Amino acid sequence: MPIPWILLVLIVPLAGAGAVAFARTRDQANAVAIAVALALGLVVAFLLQALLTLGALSSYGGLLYVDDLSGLLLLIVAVVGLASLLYSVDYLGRSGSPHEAPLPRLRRYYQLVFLFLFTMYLVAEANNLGVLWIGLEGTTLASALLVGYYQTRRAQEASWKYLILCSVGLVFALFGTLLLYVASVHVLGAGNSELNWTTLVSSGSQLDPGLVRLALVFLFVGYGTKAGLAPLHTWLPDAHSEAPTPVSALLSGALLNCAMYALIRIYAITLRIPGFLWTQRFFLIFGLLSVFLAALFLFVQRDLKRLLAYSSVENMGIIALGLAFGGAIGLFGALYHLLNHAATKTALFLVSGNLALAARTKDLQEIQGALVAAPGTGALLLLGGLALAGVPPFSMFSSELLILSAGFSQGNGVAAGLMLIALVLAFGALSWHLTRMLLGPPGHPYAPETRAVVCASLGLGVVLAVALALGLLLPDPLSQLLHGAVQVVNG
Amino acid sequence: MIVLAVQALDISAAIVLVTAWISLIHRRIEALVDTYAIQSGALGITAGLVAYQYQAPDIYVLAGLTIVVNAIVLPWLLRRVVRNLGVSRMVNMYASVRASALAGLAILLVSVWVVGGITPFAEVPSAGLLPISVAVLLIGFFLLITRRKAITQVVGLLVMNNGIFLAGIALTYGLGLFVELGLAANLLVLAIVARIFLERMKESFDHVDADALRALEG
Repeated sequence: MPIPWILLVLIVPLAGAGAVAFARTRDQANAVAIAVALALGLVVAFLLQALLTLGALSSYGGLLYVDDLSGLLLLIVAVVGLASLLYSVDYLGRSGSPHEAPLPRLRRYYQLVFLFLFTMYLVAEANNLGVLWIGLEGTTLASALLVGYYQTRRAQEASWKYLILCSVGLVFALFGTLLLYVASVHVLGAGNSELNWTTLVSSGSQLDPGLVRLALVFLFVGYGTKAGLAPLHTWLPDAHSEAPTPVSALLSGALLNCAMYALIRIYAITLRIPGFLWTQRFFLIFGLLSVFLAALFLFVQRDLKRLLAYSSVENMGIIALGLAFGGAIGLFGALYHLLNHAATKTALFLVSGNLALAARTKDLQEIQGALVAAPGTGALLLLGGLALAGVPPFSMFSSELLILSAGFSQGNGVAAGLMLIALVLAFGALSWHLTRMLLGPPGHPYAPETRAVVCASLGLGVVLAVALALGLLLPDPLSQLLHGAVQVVNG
Repeated sequence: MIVLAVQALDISAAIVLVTAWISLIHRRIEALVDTYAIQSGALGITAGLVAYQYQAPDIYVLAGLTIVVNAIVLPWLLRRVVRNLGVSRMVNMYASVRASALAGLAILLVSVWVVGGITPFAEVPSAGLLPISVAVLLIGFFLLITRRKAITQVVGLLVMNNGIFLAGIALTYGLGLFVELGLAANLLVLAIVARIFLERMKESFDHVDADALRALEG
């Protein structure tokens, strides 16, 4: 009997959440965290291998369904989750770690992270759009508590703002899902699978365009809020900057992609409706707004983590533009960028955690001369910053280039031109901040570079290696996965 | 028999719309909560009639839960929060009562004008209620963004949920998955209220509004 990897992906984090409740010491809790992180990595690897050899898998009578597009999201959540959990162990888990938490809080922290991971895997594996919605709602509940983890006033406010804004977004998305359901029932009659993505895609050409267009408005407002697309992004910088650093990495590297993934699934359905271009238009408008707003806001940031948060808004906009341009190249670029951004941004958030510890501040005005004062962290920041700014040979350069060329070659010259301007602006803002942080004399004494933090460096190494390697060469299985995912969307 | 449910739905839609509009003109939080309770009760009874007509046990469950949770437990919890936390009982607004009332009417007109053209299909008996549901959804949203206190924002979210509930029973008669989705949406709000209640965000209650959040902007 084949091993049910699809189910194991969901069971492992839940089991971890149960197991960590019994941890008697901090070391035991950390051991559970490391075990869950590694187990999830392995399970997802086996699942992806099965996916690449056998093709799309489904389970539970079609309730769970994994194709190449889900595979991409599974891979992202697994890599980001692994890095973030390993980093957590040295950041707040181990005794003597900089944000050392008392055991009960540590247990609760790990439980919430495991539940957060569970809901994100559920999003990736759901076939039914209703289950997908429930998964995204679950991510809000679990992560809102993590955002408020430090229980300072600012953290609580950020957490409340995040909870309310994303809940409102999700209510709108539920309404959109309801309308999609009505359109689907009209074609298929009431059965049990009208909301299954596989069913909707195969009957897409018959869906009523008027109703789908109305549904789309609500779905975009809803999931767009969660994906951090401007002008619905206002929760994002607060939540990212107030959350503990490993959680910021999870939010930016994994969660935003889950919401974007929901939009991509909807997009795939509407691509089947003949002559229906509204999804591309929505992506274009939200994408352009996001890249421009974020590029401008990048200049005026004064907080390291808010800087990275606005850069996430920018990159979500780039992905939306890739989807708007469409075609095989645009889609490939968008999905490739999803992966690149996840790895690069996770690495940068973790580096920024180290830097903030060394410099004893997150204030961009006060962090100077990091290359001299903390050479190791400074070098990593330089690498990650270059990768994020989209400098070749880093992978984000390749995906941005693909998206731009898709835009220019497929009659979206104006939009692609605007995107190029925004990219240049963002590049300028990022390099300006980086230069100030890295060069010059350090303005104040830095803490000695963090002791040999094994797990944190391991986690960091994983994502940084992925981010760098992707730009140099795209490994065969990965390229197969990406091309498969493009096929899934494009049909 | 179809007639019974269709008429009940029409009456219920009228009650939901009017109560949504009335919630825009309340100055006291308790009155706002009471209005919400009436609205939920009307929806729960309608769901019960639909369940009776189709003899569908799962819709009976949904109707029962709506009456118990949305019309009784949640309002009770909200009233207790108001009483125990010593929050001032007035609704602090960004928009005046008169402006809110007019905005509510404008939302209704726009919904009918924009959504009215997109009537779903002839075989859905209560399809005409779609614009009303959208109007209730948007009135809830307006309530949420123009009222300053955390607790009134929660009521806004609840009114939005009722708009979806109305659309759910009008367009699908609560068939299929929407039973579960409706419950999940309620759980979300319950969790939020419980969180406010448990963490006793007393201070935050008077202050979690856009003014205080300005510290985080930029």
